Amino acid sequence: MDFKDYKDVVHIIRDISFSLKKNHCLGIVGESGSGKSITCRAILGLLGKNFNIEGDAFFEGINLLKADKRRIRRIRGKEVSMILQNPMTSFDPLYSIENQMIETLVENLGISISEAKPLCLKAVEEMNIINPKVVLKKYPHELSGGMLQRVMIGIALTLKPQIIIADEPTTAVDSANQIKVLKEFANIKEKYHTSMIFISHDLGAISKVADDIIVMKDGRIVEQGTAKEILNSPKNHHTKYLIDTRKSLVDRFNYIIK
Amino acid sequence: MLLQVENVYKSYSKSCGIIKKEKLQVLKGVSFKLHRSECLGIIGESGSGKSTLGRLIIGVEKPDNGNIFINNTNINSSRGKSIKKDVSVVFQDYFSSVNPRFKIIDIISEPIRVYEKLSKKDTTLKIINLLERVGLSKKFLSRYPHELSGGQLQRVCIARAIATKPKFIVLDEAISSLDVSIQVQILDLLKELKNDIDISYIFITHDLTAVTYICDRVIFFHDGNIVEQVDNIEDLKNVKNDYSKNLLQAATQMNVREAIYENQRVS
Repeated sequence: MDFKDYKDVVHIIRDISFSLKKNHCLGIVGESGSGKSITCRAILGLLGKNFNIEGDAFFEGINLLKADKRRIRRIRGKEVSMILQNPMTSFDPLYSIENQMIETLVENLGISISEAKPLCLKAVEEMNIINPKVVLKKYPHELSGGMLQRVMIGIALTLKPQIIIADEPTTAVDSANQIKVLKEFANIKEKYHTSMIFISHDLGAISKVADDIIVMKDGRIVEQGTAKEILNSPKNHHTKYLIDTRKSLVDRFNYIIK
Repeated sequence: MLLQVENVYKSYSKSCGIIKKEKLQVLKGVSFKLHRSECLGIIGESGSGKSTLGRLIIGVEKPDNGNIFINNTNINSSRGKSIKKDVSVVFQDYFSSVNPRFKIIDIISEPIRVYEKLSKKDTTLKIINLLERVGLSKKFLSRYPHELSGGQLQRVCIARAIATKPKFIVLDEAISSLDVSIQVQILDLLKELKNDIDISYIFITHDLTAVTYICDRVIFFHDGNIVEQVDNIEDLKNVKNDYSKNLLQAATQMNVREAIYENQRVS
């Protein structure tokens, strides 16, 4: 997949190109406002009309930015799934978890409701949620952020997409559950051979799952390479700054633990 | 003793259906003390009641049972009002804790107006001073909240919190919604302020890494109870309670050094 992008009036993103290899995880790291999320939204065509997007994004030979709407809708969800930052507001509060899962599955996989039910249970079970049957009957406000996040990952996985785009999936989750969510992502990649784009402001989280890393600042890519290169020998000073600030936080922690 | 919390209980009533009401016990007998110029960390997961505790301490809510003393004065007694000047608070959601129609100068001048009688000129001078204290320049004075970034706005909230020269500040997840790099900047600022103006913090968070960066003591909070207390942060590795161990382990896994890249993949 190639992606080239250029925006006008207020330049949010300028001349970005990257590619996602099969069964690889691409981490996009940057501070808030650096344009990480909007890049991914642009690829999926989720931005409104007042955004002027130029460039191309190819998914298996289809240009996502130029293809017609119906085709994109079929790709979005079925082939490319997105996991959002805030699990608490991504679910409809008026419907039970099961209802929402069924709705998504019926819509995207074209199966009947009775076929979708066992799939829901399986999805929740695979996310290592305790009492899966009880959880399915609950409403979003009755579950914790970490649980909802795992339900959302579960839904995304059941659709067996080629690409999962995860936008800050660990930010709204308690630190005790963050590592669980990250493990889930690592599992997914191994088990289902899914490709992933993992967006975060936290280099710590990125380094746990990403194979390749892009560092963004003010709508530009300042550095890109394999995770090993970026983390072990960063060249750009912004990358160094991100690594150093995190290191100063972690060093004190490790000093106390040792 | 700066702050003393004694056997505090708090419950909320939760309606189930139209008539039936259930009581939700949030705090179940919490006691602890805060000394002068120390930073006390309160760590727990969401729903553990740590934020409720913070709200009780600043006096916006009253406990069902038990007492809270600041400088040996009960904050919920009639004499307690004047003592509230000694407490300040900084919340997680910086944007909703300021009035979006106020300029930065109005936001910070509000607590000064309530507690001090200063002329307009002196107030402005004081505000400029406070802004410089938190690392912002006076060009921010006439800006509106939406014109500032998250880190800058949180600095404004800190400036507002220290405007009345409080004895301690309750920091309720004050850095949780900021980027990691900005988190470190704010933590450094808090440390600096602590040394300069002799102030104590109650640092409420779910992030153990941030606790080790700034706190002297830690309280582990779980399900409305204090499950463990670490009086010297360097003893953190010796925690005994299962819940605290869990948190520590999760944090340790997250914090394996980036430099030893190969060893720390989660799979």
